[in-house]
Amino acid sequence: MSPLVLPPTQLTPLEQGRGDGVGRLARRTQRGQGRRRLLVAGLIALSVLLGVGSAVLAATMARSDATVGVQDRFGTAAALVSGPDGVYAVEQPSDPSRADLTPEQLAWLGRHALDGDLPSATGPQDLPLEVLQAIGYEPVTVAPQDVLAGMDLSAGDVLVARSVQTYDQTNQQQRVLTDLDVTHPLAGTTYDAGGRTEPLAGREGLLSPSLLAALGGEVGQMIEVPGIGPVDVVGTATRSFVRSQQLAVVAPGRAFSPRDGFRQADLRFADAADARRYVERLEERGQELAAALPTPSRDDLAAVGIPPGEQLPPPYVAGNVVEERSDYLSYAVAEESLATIVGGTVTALATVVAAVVGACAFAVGVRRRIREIGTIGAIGATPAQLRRLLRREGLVIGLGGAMVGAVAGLVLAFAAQPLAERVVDRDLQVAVPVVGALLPVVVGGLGAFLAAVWPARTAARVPTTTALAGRVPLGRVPGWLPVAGAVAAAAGVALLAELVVGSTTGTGLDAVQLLGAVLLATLGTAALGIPVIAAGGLLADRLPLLGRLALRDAARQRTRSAAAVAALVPVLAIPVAAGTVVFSEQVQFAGQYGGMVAEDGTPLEALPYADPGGSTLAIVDGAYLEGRQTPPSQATIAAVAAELPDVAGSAPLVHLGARDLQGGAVAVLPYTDDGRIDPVEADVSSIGRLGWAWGDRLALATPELLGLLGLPADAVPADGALVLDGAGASVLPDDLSSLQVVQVERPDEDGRRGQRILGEVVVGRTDAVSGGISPGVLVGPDTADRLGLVETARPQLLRLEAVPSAAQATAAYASVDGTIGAGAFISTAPPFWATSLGIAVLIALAVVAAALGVSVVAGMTSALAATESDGDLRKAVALGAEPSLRRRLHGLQAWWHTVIAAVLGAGLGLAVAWAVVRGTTVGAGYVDDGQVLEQVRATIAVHWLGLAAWVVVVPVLVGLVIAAVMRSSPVTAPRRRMA
Amino acid sequence: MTSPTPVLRLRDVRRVHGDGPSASVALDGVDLDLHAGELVAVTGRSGSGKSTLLNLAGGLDVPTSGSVEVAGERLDGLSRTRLAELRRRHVGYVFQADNLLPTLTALENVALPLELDGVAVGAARGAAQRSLERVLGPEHAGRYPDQLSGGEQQRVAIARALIGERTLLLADEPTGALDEVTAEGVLRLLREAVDAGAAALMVTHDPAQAAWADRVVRLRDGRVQSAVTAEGSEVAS
Repeated sequence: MSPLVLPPTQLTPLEQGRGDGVGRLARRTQRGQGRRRLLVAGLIALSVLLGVGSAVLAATMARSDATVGVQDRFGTAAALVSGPDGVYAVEQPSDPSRADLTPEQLAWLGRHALDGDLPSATGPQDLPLEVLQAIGYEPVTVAPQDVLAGMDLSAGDVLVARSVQTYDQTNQQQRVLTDLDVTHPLAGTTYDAGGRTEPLAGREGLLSPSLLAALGGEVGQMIEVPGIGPVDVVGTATRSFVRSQQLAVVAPGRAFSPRDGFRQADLRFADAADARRYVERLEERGQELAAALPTPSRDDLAAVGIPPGEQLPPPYVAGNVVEERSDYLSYAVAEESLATIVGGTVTALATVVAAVVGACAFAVGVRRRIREIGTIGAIGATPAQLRRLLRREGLVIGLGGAMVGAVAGLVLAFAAQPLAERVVDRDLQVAVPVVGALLPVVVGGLGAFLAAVWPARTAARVPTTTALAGRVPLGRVPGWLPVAGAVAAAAGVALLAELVVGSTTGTGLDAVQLLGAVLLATLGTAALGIPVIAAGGLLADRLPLLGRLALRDAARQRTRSAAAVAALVPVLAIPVAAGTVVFSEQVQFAGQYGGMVAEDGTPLEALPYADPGGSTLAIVDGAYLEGRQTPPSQATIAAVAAELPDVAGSAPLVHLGARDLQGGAVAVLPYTDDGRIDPVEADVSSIGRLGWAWGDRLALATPELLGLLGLPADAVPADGALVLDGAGASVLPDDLSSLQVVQVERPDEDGRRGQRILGEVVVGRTDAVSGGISPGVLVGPDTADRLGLVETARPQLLRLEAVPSAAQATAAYASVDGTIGAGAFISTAPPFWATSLGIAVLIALAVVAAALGVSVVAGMTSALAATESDGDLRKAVALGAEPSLRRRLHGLQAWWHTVIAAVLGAGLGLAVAWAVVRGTTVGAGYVDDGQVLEQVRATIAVHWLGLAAWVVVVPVLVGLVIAAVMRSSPVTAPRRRMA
Repeated sequence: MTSPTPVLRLRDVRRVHGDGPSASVALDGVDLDLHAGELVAVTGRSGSGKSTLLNLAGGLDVPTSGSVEVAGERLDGLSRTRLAELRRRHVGYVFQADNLLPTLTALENVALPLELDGVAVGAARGAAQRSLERVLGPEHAGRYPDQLSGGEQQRVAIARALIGERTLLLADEPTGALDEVTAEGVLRLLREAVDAGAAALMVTHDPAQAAWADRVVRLRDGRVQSAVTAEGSEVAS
């Protein structure tokens, strides 16, 4: 019977009449294709859901990060000014707390505030000159006598004046007379003058009028001041004040009036040398500050084309950097656009999978309906009409699936917000990036449409007679396709590398570049699977029957097999890329704490600095000099300690942390035999927020500090010096941000020991730049429990069960990693997930989870493949094959496809990881040290064992899963054709 | 000369598809004996039960009632594994078209039943080579089905059906898609195989093809309407 003469029952009724016959035909011919259409629509919906959900989540996190990041950096300040003395926060010029200060006073205060604190929480009185200039005040030279102007003083009066105790780069203790502190009672009864503690002469002092009135006294009376004792009130004064106190003795016979000048000679100190030094330093400092000028304003910088945060060229002082909050905010906001990139990337990958599987589904649908298509062609439809018929199906499915996926993605993202907040432990506000949310919809819908284009084109080109006979010519894969694939994959990786290494501002162009890179890399890599599939068919000759059937069928249906591989490549590449990046960071992180010690163990540098009270050394090594602010290595500290004659035979130097101590490594030594303490400290003057950079006559730890550290009091010598093992340190998480550090003075003759709170020690805070954890302070178990510390999961960090001895710490230190520097971390019992077994379990779980996920995709392609091969399998069963042949055959084919995809995906994943890691910088953020962000590239590290497990185990698991879920072949004879 | 023990025996075989009001009776009380050296043609109109009869004979289907014996072994009650083994070793199938697995060469298609039976590849291919050369030239051994004509494919299918020690050949319209000359060649092969001692059951609706048979059994509405010899004598089915 001629194939052109068809039984009436095989004709599809064509509706006559007006309108688009092809359109109506499309609808009618799609009956019975419901499951396949649902499958493709579902895949598109899933890819769009993933893309939209990822974009929303990324935007939400970026916005939160931006907000938190800006807050962390700037606090309430409008700008940051970093100079040679550190970083200063600049409040809004309209800050009402400054309303009572004249510009001259502000300027004067700024000049003489040598303390390098971050005064974000204090008033303008502490602002250094640079800061004042940054906010628009011109430098004004104000003599100290101006402070006393207007005060009625008599000879012999004792001025209780507040001063800021600051330290300059040479660690000279400065007493800066800022203003009279008369609003507070006298604090302390002694003052430090030239190394000696002098009592307040006759307990004379000035009180504020309000205090005097509150106490019910008068000038000239001895008044009992609560908390202080009796004070011989010699006068009153009303001025604001800051900080600690010093006092000066007014020379006899000197009277002051507001309009009188005050000469240097009229100001006396109990110790003339102190006074002289004070004035000299004051003048020197003023000159230094003047020399540091000008610090330009934001507009000045903009006028010369210097963006915020960039190093200023001459004539500006090196290191002076102005960084404004508004600029940083705009940068932070730009992070949100990265959400578009994230969403677009996820969508691109998901859509590749969906489109490929969808193309398989469309292709299978075409094959099953080939006779119908042939009939339509025989009746008179043009090839263009046939293509339109099939493409229309793809468009409807794509748009429908994309809309469903978009809505579902938005709903899921909102629903996941509470969980996300719990994970990141902060409030989040859902941010929906318009472009980032629309992009997946467009890409997903387009993907489905494109998935139908190729099968439609193929179907329309099949000769009518061939189609009527029910045959579809085997697809021919062009020979140039693998070559083009290799080129495309290389181009994709190169584009990605350029995007990561080069500067990215999250613009739309970056998003397009990333999308293009992902698509090129993924599809190009998948195309490389084609020759492998073909080779498999040739090599199958020697295989047993099952293998021969599976590989030959895969090679014969090369297009379908290539599509299966293409769908699996991105699924298998992503975990390899992500895992390699994380692993590389871990390796890099461990290396960061290696310290900068030469191979023979000698420190890179140790700088002496002068201290009139004794010899002190700044332990500074190369790492610190390079601005990395990593702690000095054990060898460094040990080498420096060896140079200190007074500490011979003493306990090892300790390191109480560096990174969050704002640049200085601090070591504490015990008292020497002659009762002196020779603290060894690093240069902390660059950032002196803590205020505990001390001189040569202070103890560094008090019982209070010990208590906070959870250490027994008798572990510390009675005079207060603390000796800790240099390697015994633990890091504290963010929730413990500081400890109070007090300065303990030597006991006076009466045995009283003054204490002064120097400030707070920020300890163990995570580094916001590198994500690493900085060294901190030793914490005992009780303290950790009491303070609610959370054990870190980092393998190097953990809570110490007990204060280790030097030997224990050394042993533990040596057993963990010889590159971990002193004062960093020791590990005696790492958490399970940090052990080798734990890591192995993690890898195993990841492999199983991935295998299940991959099985979903592999299952879809296998199901589609089954529709083509079932006819042959029924034949085989009729000839005597076991019905389980179907399951085993598809399981083996799934393994084959997954092996190819795993190898290609591993290569792609490693290439992507290389590109990302190369773009990663290591080093401290530039705000801390005034420099621009270091451009030190990280290096890639590959976990080869894990990679091998990935390539070998996942395909086996996938094959087993597919074999398990596939049904056995029905035992029926092949269909007979109707004669 | 036929052997006394039938290779295929159907006794009161009844096959009902579906149940309830929609149930349809494909075969209704069919008795059939097929001996070695005998070629029986089964004819009838569409829907008369020819294909069902063939499926039951090959163990691809199970009768609703009655019994089917192949080589003296009752098929009902056998496991799927045993049935598959039976088909591998004792039954040869020739379908109307699409007999061959497209991913195997002609030689491999012929060797397929042996390989499924666990015979070593080398031995299976050796036997296949001999079987194939009885129906086709050796140059066809390495060709894939889409490189063979329809007649060549049917010859390969017959070679596969004859490989080993098969005693029962089941052919479902074996020449339905072939031209007259080629069809005659295929039928001649079948006849030669039967003359050599095999038993063959051939479904056909073409009287000319039925003329090659020793006996023609006509089905109607699932029942044996008539059974006549090649000479036209009425006989028991």
